[in-house]
Amino acid sequence: MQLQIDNLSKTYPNGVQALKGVSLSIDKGMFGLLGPNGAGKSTLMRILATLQDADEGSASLGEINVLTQKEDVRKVLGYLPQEFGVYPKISAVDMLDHLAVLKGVSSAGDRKELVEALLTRVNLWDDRKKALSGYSGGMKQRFGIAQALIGDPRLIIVDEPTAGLDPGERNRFYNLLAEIGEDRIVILSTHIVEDVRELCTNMAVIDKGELLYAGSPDAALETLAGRVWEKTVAKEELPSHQEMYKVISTKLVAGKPVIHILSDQDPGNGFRSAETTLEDVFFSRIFRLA
Amino acid sequence: MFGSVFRFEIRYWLRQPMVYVFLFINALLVFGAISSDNVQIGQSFDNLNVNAPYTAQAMYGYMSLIMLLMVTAFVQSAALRDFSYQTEQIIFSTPLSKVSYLLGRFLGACLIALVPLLGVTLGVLIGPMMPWVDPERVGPVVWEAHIQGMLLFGIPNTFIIGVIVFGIAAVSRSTIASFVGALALLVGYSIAGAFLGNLDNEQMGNLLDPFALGTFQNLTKYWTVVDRNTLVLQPTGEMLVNRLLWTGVAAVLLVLFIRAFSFSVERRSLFRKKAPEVEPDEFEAVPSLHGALPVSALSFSSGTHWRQMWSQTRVDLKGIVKSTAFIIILLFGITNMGFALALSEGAYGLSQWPVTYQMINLVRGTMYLFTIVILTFYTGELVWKERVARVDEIYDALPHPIWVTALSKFLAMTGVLLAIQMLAVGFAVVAQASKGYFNFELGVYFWEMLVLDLLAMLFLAALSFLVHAAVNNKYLGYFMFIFLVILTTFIWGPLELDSVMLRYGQTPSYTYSDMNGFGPFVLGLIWFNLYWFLFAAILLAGTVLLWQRGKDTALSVRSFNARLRFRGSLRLATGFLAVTWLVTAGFVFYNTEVLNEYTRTKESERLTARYETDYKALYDGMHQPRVVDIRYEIDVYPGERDIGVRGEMLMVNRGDAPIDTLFLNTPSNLESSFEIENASLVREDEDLNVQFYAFEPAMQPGDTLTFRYSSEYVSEGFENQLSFTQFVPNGSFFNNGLVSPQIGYQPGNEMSDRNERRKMELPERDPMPTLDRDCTTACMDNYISNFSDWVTMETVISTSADQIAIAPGSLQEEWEEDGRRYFRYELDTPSLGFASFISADYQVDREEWVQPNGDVVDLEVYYHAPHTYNTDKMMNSLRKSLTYFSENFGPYAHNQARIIEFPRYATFAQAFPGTMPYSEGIGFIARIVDEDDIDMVFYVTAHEMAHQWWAHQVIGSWMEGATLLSETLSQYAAIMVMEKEYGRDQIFKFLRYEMDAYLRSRGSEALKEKPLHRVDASQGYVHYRKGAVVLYYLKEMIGEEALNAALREVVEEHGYSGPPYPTSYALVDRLREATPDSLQYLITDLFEEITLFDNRVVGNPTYVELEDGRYEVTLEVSTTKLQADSLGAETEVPVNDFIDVGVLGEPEDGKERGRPLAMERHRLTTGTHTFTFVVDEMPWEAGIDPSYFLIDRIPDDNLKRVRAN
Repeated sequence: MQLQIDNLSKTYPNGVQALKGVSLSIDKGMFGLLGPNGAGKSTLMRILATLQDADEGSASLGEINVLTQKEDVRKVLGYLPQEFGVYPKISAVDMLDHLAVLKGVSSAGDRKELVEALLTRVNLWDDRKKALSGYSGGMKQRFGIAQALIGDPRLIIVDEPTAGLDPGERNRFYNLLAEIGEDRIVILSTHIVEDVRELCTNMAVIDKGELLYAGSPDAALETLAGRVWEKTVAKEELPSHQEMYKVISTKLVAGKPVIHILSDQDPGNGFRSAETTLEDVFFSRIFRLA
Repeated sequence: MFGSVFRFEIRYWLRQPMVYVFLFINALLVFGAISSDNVQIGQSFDNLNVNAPYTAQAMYGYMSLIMLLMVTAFVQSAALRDFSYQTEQIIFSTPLSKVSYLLGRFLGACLIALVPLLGVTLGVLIGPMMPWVDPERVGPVVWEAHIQGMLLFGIPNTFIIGVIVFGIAAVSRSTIASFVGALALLVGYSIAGAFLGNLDNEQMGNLLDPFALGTFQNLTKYWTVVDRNTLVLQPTGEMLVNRLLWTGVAAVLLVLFIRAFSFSVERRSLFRKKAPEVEPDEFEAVPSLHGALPVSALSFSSGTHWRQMWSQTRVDLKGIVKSTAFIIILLFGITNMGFALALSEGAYGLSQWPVTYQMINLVRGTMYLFTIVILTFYTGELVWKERVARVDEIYDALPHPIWVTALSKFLAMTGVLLAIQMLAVGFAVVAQASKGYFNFELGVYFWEMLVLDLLAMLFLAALSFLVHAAVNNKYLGYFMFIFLVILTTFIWGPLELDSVMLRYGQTPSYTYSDMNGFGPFVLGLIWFNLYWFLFAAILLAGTVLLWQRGKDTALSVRSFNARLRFRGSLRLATGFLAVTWLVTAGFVFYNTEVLNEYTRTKESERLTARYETDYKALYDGMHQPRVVDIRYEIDVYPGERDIGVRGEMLMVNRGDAPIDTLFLNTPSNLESSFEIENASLVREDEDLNVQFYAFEPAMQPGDTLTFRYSSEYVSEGFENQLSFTQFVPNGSFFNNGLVSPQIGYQPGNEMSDRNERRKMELPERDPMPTLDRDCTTACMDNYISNFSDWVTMETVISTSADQIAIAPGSLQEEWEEDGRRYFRYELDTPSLGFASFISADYQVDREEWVQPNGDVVDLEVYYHAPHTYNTDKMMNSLRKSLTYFSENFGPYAHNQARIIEFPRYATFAQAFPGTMPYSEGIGFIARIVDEDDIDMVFYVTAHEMAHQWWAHQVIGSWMEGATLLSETLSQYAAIMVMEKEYGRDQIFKFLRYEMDAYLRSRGSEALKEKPLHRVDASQGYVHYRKGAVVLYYLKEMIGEEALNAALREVVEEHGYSGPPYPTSYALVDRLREATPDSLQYLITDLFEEITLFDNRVVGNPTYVELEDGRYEVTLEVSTTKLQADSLGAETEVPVNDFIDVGVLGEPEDGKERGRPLAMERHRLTTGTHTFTFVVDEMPWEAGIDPSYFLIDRIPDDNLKRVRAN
């Protein structure tokens, strides 16, 4: 099964153009969607999750037309939105059971087994009887993951899943995703570059609704190999450097600005060659440097 | 600091549109109520000046109830603003003090909340200026009414509401909790209202009302039209106490709330412990990631959909039932209902047997408001539940079809409403059992509350769901829903469309009767409910189409999704519903508009006016033949609700001129044909049911002609509103006026309401001709009929085999034929042409009573089998009444006296010759437990029995004062029988209620109050209420014997006589003769003037204990006498009257008043008088006119407790 996105565009009533002719093919495996806040990631994911409609273009999942056969998409979809809440005054186990029914797990026995397994898997078994509204941010996020896995979905969409998780939880979550992602499509949106590097076999960078890059992370690094240079500068020097070079990023290291620039040749002037990171790819794409 | 917060608050609100919107709404409402009689706030003020100070002041009071919402909106927003905008961390870390923060916010918001009240002022001031307002009804502007309106209601109520709502909101930081506080005030108001219903609890009710609105109504209840047009209620007495009490309570609460408010980000918990903080997880070992998740089969079959629906319904149902707001609103409803069920009372402070239909009415009146609040609120909540909880993205991406969501939310609402209804039934049943009534009639509860009312609620819920789905903005949704409900209810009247098919969710109105069940209403209810049910189902289908799924709210996207959804089974279902609905609508339309045509309300008003304009001038009083003998053949078909009447009347020309034209009013809505000897139809006015016949040759004086007619009613299908509750399966009850033609112009058909008449440009009219002592031609008609006098009558009436049919007179024959029962009745004595016909399945109690002359009279009570509660009392009253009346007024004229129960579609008892139909809704279920209770059954029976003399023997002419001879004398006669049976204390209690009713009703007199001898037939409060008090007092003064002797003479002189018929002078003159010279003033005061007293005790009566163990009581009283004109304007007149002064002992347990220890009758003059009494026992109370013989504007101050000197 392949997810094929062609020339997808979306403009909001307030005039913001969230997607501009985005085309992508996504195969089985983990797919990372990188972009800064407001890039259009969530819009794209919601369109794929049948929660929004595109103005133009098409999207298909295997034989299914995502834009019109919404019911069919939902049958094979697992979706974890960026932000979500819970019904008041309901326990995790009841809520998960309810969601499982809505997902189509019709047999009560199957459901019970599944709910138990899911809650165990996300380590909420001991808290299953507690009201969801009393859950901490991390527990809630784990509950979200559990519900996204109901019904063995072929397409899993997770939007900024690690926001609010502590490092340990994040690791566990990624392990789980990686395991699941082996034989299905998992789309993961994030603005954390490292996540993609660690997990994804393929990725895309979008900004302001435009697709800036699509391919594997390794190929992306390849495009910048040997072209990234770094230098520690004084604060006063920053403006002049920004004029003179294609600055990818400015970071503070021990309180002093360290700049990365893109240059095909050694720029000299105290720059040294830097190890190319995905972050460099990300920023250079966003700033339209490469 | 306080100042800046306060000023900030004011400036903040002045920039908000809400203040001005509320101001505008209030102004518009009040403007409407002032300038138009069609808009009503609280009560009808139609008989007053449109801008009467009473109206103005009352407006401020009534608007307090609306201000409840508005003040809530202001102060709870002021209290919660920092929490809802999450600025509390910033505010609380400034050096601002808690008190200035809270007080500044609160007082600022309160002051602003007063602004919308100025809308009342504007409305009252501008309303009267409108060109369509009758200039005669505009009085001067009374600023004091506005000032006192603000001081008594506006300012204190805003403060009281403000404190409660603001305090709860600030302390709990919850919107819902503060709304609940507002609801609590409303419940307080309603409970106070329940107390005010009973004369003995008034004081309690006056203090308990948090808005002082009930207090205002109670303190002004005796205000006359003139009072209401000129006076302003001042802050004195119980009004002042109430205001101080509630403002004080509010002030104390404010202090407590300020103390309880936590000036920090952490909320101090008001109600329950905070949920324990969830501990962050320990950093435990990564759980096993391996081992695949169990693979469960997914199913998307319809079975799954039903399971999904069930699951969603359960989740939503639990969600509502567990929510705090639901529980609290429900508790308020139950409290409100509980008080009503426990305190339910009928007339004269009497309790009724808590029959099921009464319970249902109480539940409707007290619980349904809260149920509708729940319905309105939670339909919106359910539609928005996923979005508010932010689970919508997860939820909407799940593969369940959207109809599952919409339908399960509707089902959850259904479940909640059903549960509330069942709970209410439970409470009602418990209330019945606690009053010792065990005939629960669960079937009636089931059909009325769990089927009919529940359906009506579900129709509303369906509309609300659709509106919320369509509007897609929660608050706009609430607004639109309420707006639509109001619109579909009220828009059709002005458009002159009366069809119930246009009134969303409504069905023809119905009344359950013990006798008749749902009887004639069933068919209409079924079809109308089906009609709305299908319509509501279509609305639900629309809801499914419009339901917001996903994040895009643009119209194009929503219509795209609606098209995607509108296929397959939903399309089929909608199509099927639409077709079935159309067919049903067609059938309902055919039945209600084609098969059973009806006259629209406005149209019938125009017709009424036209009757007068077209015919009055020419035909009123035109010489017409009189009916002297009537033979009826009547067939009642109870099951079919059909009726057939054939009549043969003998007409005589009693005058001295020939008659060439007959003016005939044909029975409306009945198919009739007429065959009149020597006469032919010359003109017909079908709309007005008027026909003209020409006699050829003219009917000469003394000529006799026969008039045959037949009328029938065949009920077909069902109607928009049932037109004849007189023809029913069990308990048909109709009189001859309904089924037979009337001869001559009928002034009784004219429009009577003064304002309506003005609208139709009809001249002012007096309801009856002016009293004329020396009437010759003007006294030729009695006030019951203007085309017959004393008639002989024979009736053959048939009915189904299981029923008994009754007509006036003695039963001569009874037989069966073709499976039907036939009865032949004949009047023993020529009587008024006023007959009732009744048929039902009756139990009959029979007794015999022997007249003083030895004739036997059959006493019969016909009743619905289960209604055995009071039949003994009725029989007893018949016997006692016959004995007293025949001894004192003369012999009884019939061979039978019958009481006959009829269904409660009407609630009266009425006297026909020898026959007294009596509604099941009054005496048959009255519950007289306490021996002190007024035996209303006994009284009503005696009253109707007295009519056999006073109306059926002596009947007044069609002229003012006629009902003095019938109604007032029947009241007197009934009181006398009651006094013999129950003693004077009961009569005193009875007369207190009569006096209260009289004084209260004066203020709502629409035309003119008249003295007794000129009373109009429509002025029940004068001829019944005042009449009872006055006649009993006269008896007290001249003695029972003298009075009865005078009455006997009236019967002897005028019984069965006429025309000419007697006027009220026949009685008044006779009484004057029977009254000694010293008391002659009484006749003038009581009958010819409107006389009122203001008698009271001055200071406190005191006593000293004498050496011989006796007590000397000193008492100062004052007396004032007033004469009122027809509008209630009073002038003081000198007192020179005999008035009682006396001392009472301590009341025994359970009694209201003690035994008189001393009672003296003195001739008093205006002013104060001091008396000294020596009594044997410890004195308790002392005062002037302790028995309330005189009509006293403030009866309560006649007696005061005696204190030791």
